[in-house]
Amino acid sequence: MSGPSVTMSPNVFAEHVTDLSPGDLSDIVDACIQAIVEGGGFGWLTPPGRPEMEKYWRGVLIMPGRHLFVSRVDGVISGAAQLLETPSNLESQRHSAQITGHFVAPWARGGGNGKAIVRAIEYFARQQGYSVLKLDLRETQKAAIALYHSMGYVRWGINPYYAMIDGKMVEGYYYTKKIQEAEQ
Amino acid sequence: MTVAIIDYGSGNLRSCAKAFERAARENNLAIDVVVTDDLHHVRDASHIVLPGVGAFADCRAGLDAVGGMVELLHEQVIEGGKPFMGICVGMQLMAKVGREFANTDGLGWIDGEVVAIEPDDPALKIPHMGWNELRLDDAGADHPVLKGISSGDHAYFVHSFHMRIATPSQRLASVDYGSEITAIVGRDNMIGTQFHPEKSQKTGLTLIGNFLGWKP
Repeated sequence: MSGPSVTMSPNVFAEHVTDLSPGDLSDIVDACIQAIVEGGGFGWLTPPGRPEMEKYWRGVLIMPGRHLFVSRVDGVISGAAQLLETPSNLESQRHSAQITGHFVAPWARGGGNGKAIVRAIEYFARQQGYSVLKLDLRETQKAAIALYHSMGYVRWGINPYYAMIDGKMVEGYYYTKKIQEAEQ
Repeated sequence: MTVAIIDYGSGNLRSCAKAFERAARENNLAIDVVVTDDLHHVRDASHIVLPGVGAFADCRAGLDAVGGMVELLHEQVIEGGKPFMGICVGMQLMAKVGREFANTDGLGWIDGEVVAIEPDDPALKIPHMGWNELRLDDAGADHPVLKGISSGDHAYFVHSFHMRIATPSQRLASVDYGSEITAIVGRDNMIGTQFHPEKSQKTGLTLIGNFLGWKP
């Protein structure tokens, strides 16, 4: 872990993690599979096998410029999101970073897990000098849309051809938030 | 006292162990929680928990693969009267038979069979995954392990099969998911939940706390 954790209640908090113990890996795979099956917002529409998913999460940890944040309930990983830093060749956009892959396990919803993760990301992003965060969501991700709206994220655009789910085109919503004044 | 959560290769038991630790702490109970496949630990425990994730037959095979465990469970729970809790497929294993893919013998402690959920509304997805409202049966309304839990309280389910009960007094609660789904079973010193108490927040912690203090 690096950086402070964000505590929502005595048993719910979120933190930036740089490694996953074997138990954490099992927990994040469980949480992610359940979120996918329930339709709750991750890249997959149907969950891959556990070995493939474990590889994916190990990969997240070693990719440069990608940071993993998790929420925990009683220490058990209940959700996650990632912060993608902007590559150095995009110098004009180095003030901004992207939130992606945000999900909360169905069993943990309503407990402040999602908000704790976003707060942890915002804290980290400010520390890193970022002044703007951005993200995109499927129109079907109602809970995430409500969460980000309530946390001051502004929808600036819609992609009508964002995703294809069960043969049907689904819109994508694009959000941004200024989290601090740009460093000069 | 010690609660033994039986590890027979059926999934990740961390959230289960953490929830039992938290319930013990919140109820000021000096209870250690061990996740184990060691017969000695199970024999020495004051409470036994059988979790389970996946298919009925796979879980039964996994349990059989821990040599002597089924016999020990029978000795400790049926003959010894030790408090026992089955969770999800661990609860289903308490039935006489499971009919998931093949007919497979359960432990035979509850007079029921485990069959596929068949909701009358085709819009309802299988697996039944998410929060649902408990409806306590008469047998559940005054059960000590359900103290503080009422009809309308929510519990978290993930399953495609459920237990159909032949002896109504052994069903303590149900939920509605396009058809009536058995949520809690029990008799004597044993209780089983189709839902995951370890993921059912307040309802689950109440139930686990009651179980840890149960003296059937």
